[in-house]
Amino acid sequence: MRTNVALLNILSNPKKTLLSLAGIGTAILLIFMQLGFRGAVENTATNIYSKMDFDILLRSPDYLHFMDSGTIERRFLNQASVVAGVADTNFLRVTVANWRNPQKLNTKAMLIVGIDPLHSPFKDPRVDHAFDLLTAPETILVDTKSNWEFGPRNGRRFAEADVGLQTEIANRQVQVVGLFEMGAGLAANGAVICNEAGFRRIDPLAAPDRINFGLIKLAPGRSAHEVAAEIKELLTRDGITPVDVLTRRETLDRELTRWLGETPIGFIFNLGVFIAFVVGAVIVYMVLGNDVANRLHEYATMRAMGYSGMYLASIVLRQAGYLAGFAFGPALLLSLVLYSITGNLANINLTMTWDRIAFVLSLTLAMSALSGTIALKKLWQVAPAELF
Amino acid sequence: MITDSLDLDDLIARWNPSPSDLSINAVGVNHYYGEGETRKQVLFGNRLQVRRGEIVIMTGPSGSGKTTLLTLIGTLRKVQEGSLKVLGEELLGAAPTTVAQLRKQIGFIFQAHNLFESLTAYQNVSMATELLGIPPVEAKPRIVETLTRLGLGQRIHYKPRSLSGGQKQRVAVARGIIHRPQLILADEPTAALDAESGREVVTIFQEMARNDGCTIVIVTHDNRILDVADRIVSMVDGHIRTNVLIERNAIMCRILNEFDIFRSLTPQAISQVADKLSLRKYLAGEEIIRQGEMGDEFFVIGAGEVDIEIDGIRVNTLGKGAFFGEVSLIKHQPRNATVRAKSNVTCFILSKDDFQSVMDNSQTFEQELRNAIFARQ
Repeated sequence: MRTNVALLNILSNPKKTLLSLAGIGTAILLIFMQLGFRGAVENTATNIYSKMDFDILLRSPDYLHFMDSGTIERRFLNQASVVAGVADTNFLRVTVANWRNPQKLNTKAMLIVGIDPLHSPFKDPRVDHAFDLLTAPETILVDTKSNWEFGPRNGRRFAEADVGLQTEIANRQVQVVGLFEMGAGLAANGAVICNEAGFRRIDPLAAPDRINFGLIKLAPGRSAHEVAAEIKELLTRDGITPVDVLTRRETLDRELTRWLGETPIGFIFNLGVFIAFVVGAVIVYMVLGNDVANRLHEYATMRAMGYSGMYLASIVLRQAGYLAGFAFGPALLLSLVLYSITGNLANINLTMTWDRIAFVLSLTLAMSALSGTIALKKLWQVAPAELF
Repeated sequence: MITDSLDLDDLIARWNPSPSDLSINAVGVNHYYGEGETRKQVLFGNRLQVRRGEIVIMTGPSGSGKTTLLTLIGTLRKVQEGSLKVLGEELLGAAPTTVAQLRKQIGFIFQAHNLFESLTAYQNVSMATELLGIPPVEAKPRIVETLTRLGLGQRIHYKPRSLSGGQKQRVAVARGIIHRPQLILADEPTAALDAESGREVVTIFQEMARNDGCTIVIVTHDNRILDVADRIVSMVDGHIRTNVLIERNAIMCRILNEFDIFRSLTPQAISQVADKLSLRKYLAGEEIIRQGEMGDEFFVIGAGEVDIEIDGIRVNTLGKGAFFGEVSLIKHQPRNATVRAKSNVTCFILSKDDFQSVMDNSQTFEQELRNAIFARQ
């Protein structure tokens, strides 16, 4: 077995190595956090849609985001329901109104979702089961993922204890009769569900023949793309389609594109990843460059002994690999801890995925390979003739 | 070591090695540092022939070029001018693969030790055996034995920073010799050592030279180890000033003392002449010099007899101790006679320049010559 010079070099100065590992690990941790936040944004941005049960979505071409969605005529949904393959249709009304914090009595914008309680468009079974609760116009279900600033009794989040709570939305008396779980996403911090009468009470100006979203469920075995295309064709008059017809996938993709592509959010996180990458690469380079410079006469000695330049380069590159490898594990563990802490504190969904671990690992290796290669430049200065 | 056998034929064989016997064969090696205006010549026509198994000690003030010559021999520097053959390979314009291959057969011992700081003494030494692919089962006992012999038995798994200067030096020595190289280049290998361990190191060198035919070049100012040298090369200002094969010189001096012509010289002058004399053998009937040609050598008969012929007529016969060829050199005339070997003849020969310099430096020698020439007429 050959003497592992690279590993021994790394281990020979534990204090310095630990310091370098801390630096590199921090860079890796930063990358994990940035990607985590980015992932959280992705999850949050698509959260409402992913909680809703639909295959094809009809919505206004004016749609900007969930809180500013525009409306469509309800008859388009009725027309679409005759297309072959459509098994069921449903709708959603959405508005934003001021919620009065029952504890502090200040108000805060709340997402109001109006549904037909007998026909819940949500996957959450609690909404399904609430049809006999949402009978009166003033009855509402409140999202347990709503922010604490809306004034839950326990000060953190709405829970069973809040059922029966009375407060005001848009200066109208409402009563919490149940809970559901959604997470309103990036545009609002909280959400409630009410029935149609309740919705009109909160938003009297809403036109009764207009809805915000039309939801279509398909019969098993039908392609969403084909049916969507048929609906689009059916609704098109004089080359104008008055509504956007989107498959579930398209809906989610557009949401991601909007939040990550059209706002600076995605750019900020990508930039964060890039900067962390550069910082990590610089640290690896400085550590290695310094090490190579300190050991220049050792490398020269190896050259004199007859070791090849490739062998010398492999020592430096393996040192880079060890640094990256040793820093990666602890950084991953720490990021899992931080995911859970920040996830709880900020009430966002920070989850680690295998894809992300693989991605960051390859970024880390790329980082060390890059810096190692740059550090090699110093290696070519080796002049064994100077040894004597 | 001086042998008692003074058979001249034997000496010729020993002192005129065939090229294949040479570990180092440098001819006309020039070297320059810098470029253009600042180009400075540091080696001037260096000529050095070292046989397999020889121990060479190189001395000279710093800046004399001995280190440059050492790095050239060690393939650590590119040869610029001249021919330098090391272990049979020409280094002038040598391919990188040749150089890499050669380096594995050379053991370097650096004054600054240049140990690998992260590695233990054992691992430092094993870097040399690993490179040659010596299997660990074979290498391990060898490494342990060598380190133990060098007094590092208790320090085998210490890292350099826990070792004293002398101990580091000994690890460096072990690393330089462990792979049994054919050539060892050592820079002050005993400088950091006490007398005892210094002696152990040179004893190992001697064993390797004698048993394995390893050639050893040592740059040193440590006169405690001069006695191991077979050859002492002294450099000044980029020139090889003296290149003395110790044994040959001693034997030569003893032989020369038997000749009347040299007996008058001081011991120092004899040694100088001995250094410059070469030995050559002629078969019976062979022509040694020819009448009418310009001469450039001076001959002293070591053994056998020669006939002197003028215009084809034999005029005299000379035997051991007699000399000839001087007239042409002194008077810058063509040879005035032909000299032919009557039996097998061995001659000591001085080249024209060396002859002149001996004449210049020794009035007694010149006087002796003139007397002899006078007596001959």
